[in-house]
Amino acid sequence: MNKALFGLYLFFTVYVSSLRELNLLLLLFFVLFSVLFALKRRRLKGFFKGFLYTALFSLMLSLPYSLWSSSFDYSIMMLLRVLNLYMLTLMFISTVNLYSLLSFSKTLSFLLVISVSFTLAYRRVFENFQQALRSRSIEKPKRQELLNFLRRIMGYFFERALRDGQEVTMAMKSRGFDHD
Amino acid sequence: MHIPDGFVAPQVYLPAYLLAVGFTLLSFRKLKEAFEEGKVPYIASLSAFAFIVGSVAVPIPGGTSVHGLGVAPIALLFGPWVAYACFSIVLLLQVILLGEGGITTYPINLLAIGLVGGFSAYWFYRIFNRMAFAVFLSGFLSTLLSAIFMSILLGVHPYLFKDPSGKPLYFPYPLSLTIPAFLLPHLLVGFAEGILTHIAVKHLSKRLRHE
Repeated sequence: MNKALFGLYLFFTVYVSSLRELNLLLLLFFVLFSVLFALKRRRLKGFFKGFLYTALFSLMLSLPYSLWSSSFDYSIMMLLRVLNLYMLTLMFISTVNLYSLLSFSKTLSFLLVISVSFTLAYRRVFENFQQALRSRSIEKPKRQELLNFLRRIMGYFFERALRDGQEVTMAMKSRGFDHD
Repeated sequence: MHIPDGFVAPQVYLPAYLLAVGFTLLSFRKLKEAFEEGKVPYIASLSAFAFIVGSVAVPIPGGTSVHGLGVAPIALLFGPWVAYACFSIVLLLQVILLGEGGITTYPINLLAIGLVGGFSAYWFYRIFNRMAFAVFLSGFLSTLLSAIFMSILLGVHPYLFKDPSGKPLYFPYPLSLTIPAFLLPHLLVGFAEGILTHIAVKHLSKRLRHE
């Protein structure tokens, strides 16, 4: 099921990215918008923020050209195409389990799981470090202090990355995972 | 550096996917040589490290700060193939987790940052090895080269893909506009990447030797 949905997603991505007819793009926009709304609300966390950000970014790139050439069809076409691709991707990510999609390769699915968990953990620690610097600085930190901070956190994450890599390798070996 | 979906033609991103996937498979094979065992955990942990390195804001003269790309430090510390492998994961996570970039522009971002950025950083360092600022220069110049690569890929679109009336179908700006528009802001990003690379390589290469 997941693989079939992935195939469909790839087909539609190529199809939508090659569309240029405004009527078709508009029709697709309403269809995708309706389907996304029909999905459960919890699956659409952050939908509108992303929608707005994507629309603004698209307009930022296309509007200067439209103003210069007095052709607003181009901006509308790009806006609809970009938003359709955004909604298509969101629908795919919210419907398909990416880990089971990659389950054909044990190594690949393991790599994705472990990378996501490391990245999320490191990001949380990094945010804590940044907040710690802010809360402990009465005045705005000077450039040299920021460079020192940068040096220390890089040292920390560097050592942690090497240690985590080593620990997980040993844990994998002890559990008989030798497809590395 | 990230470009959104929809601005790149399928005739560009589909071949780019083939190239990027091919290089990813090759980089994973090369990684096996770099780490005798534990390839998967090391790619994962170094990708997380690369993600963080790319997230840090580097203070630059003038009271402002800019985010570096983070590819040059990884390329100089572990080699360009490791940097490429890590960035294939980092950029994928950015698309899936953060919605930065897009699924159609993923291979282009990967080729620009991972391949051009990583390998040029490595080779610039080898060329300027005897100079005092070799590490800084490799970070700075590799960022500019990535930006030039990206701007050329985007800048050729209005020449190749237009409707019968001459209106662009994808990215609208010609090379004469795209190259300076990409290069000027990347002078600042490159400067930040240069500082980041200098700090990371000088500080961490000693630790790596002890490992």
